[in-house]
Amino acid sequence: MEPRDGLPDETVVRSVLGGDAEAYGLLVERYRARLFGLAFHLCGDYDTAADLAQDTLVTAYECLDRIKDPRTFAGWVAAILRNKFRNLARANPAPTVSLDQMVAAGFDPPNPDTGPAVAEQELRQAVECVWSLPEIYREVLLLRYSEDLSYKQIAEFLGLPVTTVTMRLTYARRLVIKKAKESGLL
Amino acid sequence: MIFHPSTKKVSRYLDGVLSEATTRSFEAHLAKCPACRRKVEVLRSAARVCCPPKQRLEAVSQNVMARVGQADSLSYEKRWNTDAPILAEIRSVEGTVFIRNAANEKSIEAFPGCALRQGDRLEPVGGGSVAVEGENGVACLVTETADVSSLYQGAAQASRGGAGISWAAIRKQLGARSVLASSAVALTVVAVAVIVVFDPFIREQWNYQAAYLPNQRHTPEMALPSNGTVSGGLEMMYDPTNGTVSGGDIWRVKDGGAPRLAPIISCIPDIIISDADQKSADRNLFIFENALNLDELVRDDTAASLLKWSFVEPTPRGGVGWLLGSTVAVSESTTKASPSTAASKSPAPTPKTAPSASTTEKRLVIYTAQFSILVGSVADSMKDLLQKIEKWNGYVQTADLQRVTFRVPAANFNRVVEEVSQLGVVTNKQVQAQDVTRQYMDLQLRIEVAETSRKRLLALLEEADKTEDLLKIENEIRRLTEEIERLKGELRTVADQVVYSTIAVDLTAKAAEAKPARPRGGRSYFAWINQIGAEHVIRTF
Repeated sequence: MEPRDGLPDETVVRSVLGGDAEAYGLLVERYRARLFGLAFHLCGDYDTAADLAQDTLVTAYECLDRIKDPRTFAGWVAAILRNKFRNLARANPAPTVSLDQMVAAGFDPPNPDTGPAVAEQELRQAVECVWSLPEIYREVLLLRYSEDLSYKQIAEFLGLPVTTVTMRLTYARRLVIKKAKESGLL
Repeated sequence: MIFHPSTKKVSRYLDGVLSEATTRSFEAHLAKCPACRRKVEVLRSAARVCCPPKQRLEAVSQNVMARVGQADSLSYEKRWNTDAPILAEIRSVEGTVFIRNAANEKSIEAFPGCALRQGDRLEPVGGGSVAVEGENGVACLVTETADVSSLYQGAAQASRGGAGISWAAIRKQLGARSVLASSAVALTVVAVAVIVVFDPFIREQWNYQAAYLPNQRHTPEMALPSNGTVSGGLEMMYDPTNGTVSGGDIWRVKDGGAPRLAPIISCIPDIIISDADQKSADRNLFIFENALNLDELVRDDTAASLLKWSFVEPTPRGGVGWLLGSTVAVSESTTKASPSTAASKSPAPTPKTAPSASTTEKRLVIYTAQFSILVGSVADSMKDLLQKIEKWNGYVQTADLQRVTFRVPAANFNRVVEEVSQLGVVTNKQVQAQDVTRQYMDLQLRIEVAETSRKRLLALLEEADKTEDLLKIENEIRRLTEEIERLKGELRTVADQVVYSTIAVDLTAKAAEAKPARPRGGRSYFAWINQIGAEHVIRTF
């Protein structure tokens, strides 16, 4: 691991403001997955999510000098993405999500160790389960698995207390199990 | 009966936040409970469909960095519009610094927790040169480092070291302020501090390695010696040929050639050091937060020299670009008195009376004088005076029957004052000399800086394509233009006052000196009161 990886957001932001454009790469690596996760949660479409995450990171770079407190970069960049989505959503209604769409857009299910036929059916139902969840639960679930984020990182990104994030994750999983039982998965 | 774990526990298990023992018992339960195993599998399936595809994320990174690379030509001005409190920040401090008080031989570690790393010793990092200055015990090792990873390593280490280390903290720890303020304090630093400074303006990093040698008193020499060196914890060079003071603390600027000092162009509240070749340019600036207040340096009345500092505080957020500016004027006074005191002692000061030719040639002084004179005939004297004003190449500013204010070339001031004194009996005489060198140079520099900013903005205006940016830049240009005009007006006024001295003369007739005697018997000065017989009424009381 490069020593720079451990630098706090604040230091990296100051470096970028100081003219070190390359340092912004650290922030991109750090936030691309959770921005993508949040964008996917909002729009339900990989293509749009990728565009949103990308635009957000570019806008954040261009407007980095407007950030009031570099320590709050996580929340700041999430707010940019939400604003961008809000502008986008006025024109395009959110599409419905299905496994086929996801696969067509590049979804690659990790560790399909339960056998291809079963896995596909199960994944198909899992997609339905996840996307039938209320937004607040789906949001934390998607962020949790966008990369291996800790409760604290999710909380900072969403501007929520850590306990709320923990609770929402538990409820989200409880609802997934409930839906799975209803659909005959369990 | 089997107790199945709660969904909360399952959830925590999936997030890996259960304790080791609980995880073990949970997994033992999973091994024998197909229902719970299935539950976990379903949740893992749900997790899988939440994972973003990796190639998509890679594409996001690549696209963003490509666009960032294109946007890398963002102007410095844009970057300057930042709330970051310091523009050039000290990124790291490595090494162990001890401060030893010579009086009680006690040493304290300046940055506990920030231990000296192996390999980080007195040797310059990555080569470089060593410069040891004079006898004040300050050695300065100037090194270059282009190794960004070591820079960040240092930063990481500094952040591990606990509390944030700022320049102010270093200054405080090193006790430099105390050392400078009072020669009685003998603090010596026995170790080395490696300070990495990042200059955002030219996007380079320099390592400065400063060693304070042990058992040396860091006492500043307050006298301004003939060779013009002001040394001490804060090192400066005085150049008598142009009256500037350059330098600043232990810093050197290395710009490819030999290390050299850079002039301080503003000192309060921050020290701003610019490249020696570009005094007022906006490049190569260092801004140190809460840096030393240089006023403390000049608080030594026993010295045969008088250092005068002037400054213009940089606008904290002056729109596009910072307005920086200051000048440093140095004058020597053999009488140990300030110029104004000297002027009051000498009724007709001229530049010739000033102590040092090298500095006084540049002094800008506004001379003014006021006289009250008793004359035999006001009209004759006034006529005489007006003729003389013409002879002195002066001109009348205001005049009435008894009073005249006129202006004469400053070169004639001394002669004029003498001749005016001979007009009659001088009952009041005030001669004032106001030194405006500092003010004048301030104005000049502020104009220069503002014009530089305006030029830069004009260049930006041509490049800007967004309406919002255009408006912002135009507003800023308008503001700068107004400011430049105002400053130029002030400069003209000051210059005019310096070139022409102002003299006010109040003429009074000698005969008018005798005041009318107070009327006796309760009679009033006013004739009409006497006529109505009011004194009779007054007497009855």
